[in-house]
Amino acid sequence: MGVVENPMNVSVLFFSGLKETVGTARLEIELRQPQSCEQLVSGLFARFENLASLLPHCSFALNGSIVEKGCWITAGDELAILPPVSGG
Amino acid sequence: MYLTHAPISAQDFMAGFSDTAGASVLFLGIVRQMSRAKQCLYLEYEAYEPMAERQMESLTREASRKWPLERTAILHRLGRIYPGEIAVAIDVRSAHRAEAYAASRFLIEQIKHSVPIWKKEFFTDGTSTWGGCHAAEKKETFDSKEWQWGRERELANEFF
Repeated sequence: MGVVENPMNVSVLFFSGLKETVGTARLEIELRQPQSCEQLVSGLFARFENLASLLPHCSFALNGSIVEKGCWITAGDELAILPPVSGG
Repeated sequence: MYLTHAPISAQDFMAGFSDTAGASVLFLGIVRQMSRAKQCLYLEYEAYEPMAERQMESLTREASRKWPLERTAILHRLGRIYPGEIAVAIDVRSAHRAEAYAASRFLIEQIKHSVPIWKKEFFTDGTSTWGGCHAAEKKETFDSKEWQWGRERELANEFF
């Protein structure tokens, strides 16, 4: 798997407690090499010490549909990190 | 439309539909005054709105495949809500009550477990917490098998 010549732009969305800890609802990220959802999010969460423990409890949605954590991200994707839901 | 930032009126929610169905089950989720022994000041709901809308649309279709329904409507509130206000309203109409009860229960449980909506609870003691963050939080359990159509049909044959 080689380095991508053109960086891929990806949006990452945060909700509820994640949004508060990260300090924003949305990050625009440039990926310089292909990454799975889990790789991208692990990298992000490493920057926020108290988030790493939340990761196993989160689901991922790519462009509004739930995906497996190992799913590859492509240019223009919107990745939403979904903490356990609490609606109703 | 399944999400609203405006207060939900049960009367408005139920209005405007023909009453040809034999049964209508209205479920209202109301904000409780007390939550885990703390007094609730208000809640704030947020959602991944496009996905939540699509999922609730998909849930209504799924309910209509499981049970013969005449109408299904769901409305979930977003933003700040005070105790006593309606957080979610579900109206299910069908020819007979067994299907309407079963579909209503199915929908609220699915909404609670799978639709990307989150609530933050603000308490009178100045503290706040995001729902779903409490491992110890008591969850009402729901055995979906118990509510399968076959079981409902048995009940229906017995009582209708």
